[in-house]
Amino acid sequence: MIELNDISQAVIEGNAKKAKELTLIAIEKNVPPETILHKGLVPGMDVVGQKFKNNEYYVPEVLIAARAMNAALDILRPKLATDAANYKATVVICTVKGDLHDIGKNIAAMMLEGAGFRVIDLGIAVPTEKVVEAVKLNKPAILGLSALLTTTMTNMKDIIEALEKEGLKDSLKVIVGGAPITEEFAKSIGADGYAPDATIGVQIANALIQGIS
Amino acid sequence: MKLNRPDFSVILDAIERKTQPARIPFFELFVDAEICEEIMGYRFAQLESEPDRYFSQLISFYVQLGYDYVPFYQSPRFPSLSYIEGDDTATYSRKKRNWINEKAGPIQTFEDVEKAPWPSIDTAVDYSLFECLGKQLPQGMKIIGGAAGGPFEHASFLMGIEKLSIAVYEEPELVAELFSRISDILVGAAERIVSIESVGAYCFGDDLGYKTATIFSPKLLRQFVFPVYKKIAQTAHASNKPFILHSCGNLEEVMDDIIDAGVDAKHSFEDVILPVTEAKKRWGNRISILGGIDVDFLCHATPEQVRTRTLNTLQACAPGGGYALGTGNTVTNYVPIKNYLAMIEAGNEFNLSR
Ligand code: B12
Repeated sequence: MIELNDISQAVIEGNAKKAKELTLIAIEKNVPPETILHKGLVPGMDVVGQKFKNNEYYVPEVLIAARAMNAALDILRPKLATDAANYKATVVICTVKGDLHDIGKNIAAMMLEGAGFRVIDLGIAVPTEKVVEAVKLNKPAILGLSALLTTTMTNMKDIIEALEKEGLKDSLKVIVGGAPITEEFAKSIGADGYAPDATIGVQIANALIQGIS
Repeated sequence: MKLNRPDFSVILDAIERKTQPARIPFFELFVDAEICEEIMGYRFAQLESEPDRYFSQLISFYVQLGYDYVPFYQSPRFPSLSYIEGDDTATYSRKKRNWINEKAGPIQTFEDVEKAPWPSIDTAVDYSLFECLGKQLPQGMKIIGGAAGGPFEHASFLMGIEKLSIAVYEEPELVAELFSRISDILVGAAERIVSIESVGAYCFGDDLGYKTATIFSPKLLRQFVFPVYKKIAQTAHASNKPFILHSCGNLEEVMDDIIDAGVDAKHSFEDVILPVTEAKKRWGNRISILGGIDVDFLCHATPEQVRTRTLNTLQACAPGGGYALGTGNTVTNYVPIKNYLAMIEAGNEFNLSR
């Protein structure tokens, strides 16, 4: 199974070309796509996450690693998409209303995807109603919310209240993150987790879905 | 409320750390226009159409609040950025808030760099505006400011931070060329601006970090950014003026580089990263520490809590000098005005009690 290690390595190095080539070879050799995902890409991104957390990797290194992962995922996705069971769980993620900060949410999404979650990214400045709609439609186990400023983070509270009103809050866990967010704020709005960084976001997501299942 | 007569030597003492200043001066990168207007009770004139009237209103605000300087920045005329507009959810809303597109900017390729309408140093900034503001300043007051934005911000805005992050590995020559164009202009503009009498200190914002680290690795910053700070610090020092750096985020790993580059004062602190009182303890004997009353705190606290926190901060940071009171970032248009004023009043109270 040497290819799988090599795929992990290609992701760690941010080598998109190699990640893609090796994924194609693995598929040719009939390695199941979910094995490539969970034994090739996920361990690679796990190392990337650890390096990011330990300040060995910074934003550029994470972005090129994620791009390598995506080069492989582009091949795998059509083969995986038919079966949601191939993923750990579904995450819906967005930056909240009034806030157009993208990159923090994107890195969180990449890390979650790299941990084997199916990630549905609603984008930036997403109105509360849109979030609720997406929750109804995709029935995620986790909702990830991002905000950059104190003036926009209050919209996280609106979203949680709207979910409660619709009776949807108990079906999922909410993780919040972004520059002004603190553990205290997360608790005060009834969020289930606070992610000081994207790597911890993955750890929390993993812990929360274990709690759910 | 007004207590201090503008006296630039007070803030200069705090920035240069040669002597303990006579009182604790106030420092902000700037105060959002909506806050200035709300406090003054009138709308400000437009800089573009009525510079003199605008300047006199701006000066009135900073004098009334007790500052020793007026902050004034002009964005260098780099190629136009790609903005996206969102609703402004702030208390003193400007209705729409402009955000810089993080995915992409006007510079994506070498060809874009070549073809972009780069200004010359002469045309990069309207230097006469600094002179014009300077002429109106009351005695004792000076300008702190410069060409807005440092090399990292400009590079990331011009390319989009995501694209720049990828390009640094894929097209390092392109990134080097972009930084070099930007830096030449920034250093040239700084040289012009510090030579203006009424400019008392040079300053710009260059956000290098975020919650847990610097956005780019220290290695990349040492290659592209700190050499530019060094040149700007040297330029300012050649005119006997200090260089203040406003830079947000967790800069722990590069504080030594910033100090070694010759930066005289560091501004921008956040409680979630490192409370300013800790920053003062760690670096205060090597660089001045400015501001640090956390923006998120200012948004949520009561005026009494602001007073207590300000007095505590001053008790910790005032001894030995090298500190000025202010927010952790800016007085942004979602900071409650009563809290901003409570911070200023606590500063005055502290100064009176000494
Ligand atoms: C870059 C930046 C800017 C840029 C924004 C560029 C743009 N697109 O417009 C510029 C310079 C223009 C800017 C302007 C302003 N800024 Co600013 N800015 C920052 C800065 C330095 C970094 C943000 C960033 O890019 N981070 C990089 C990404 C990768 O990090 P991140 O978003 O935090 O995401 C990470 C984690 O938080 C986590 N995460 C995030 N979301 C989520 C979600 C989930 C589900 C999970 C699991 C994880 C997760 O994962 C990511 C990776 O670990 C922050 C400082 C900081 N502490 O972050 C200040 C900061 C956000 N800015 C601040 C302020 C005040 C402003 C202004 C209002 C200033 C003013 N008066 O004009 C303006 C407002 C912006 C506007 N559009 O009007 C304050 C906000 C304070 C507050 N509590 O509200 C901060 C915190 C700085 C400070 N000193 O206090 N800013």
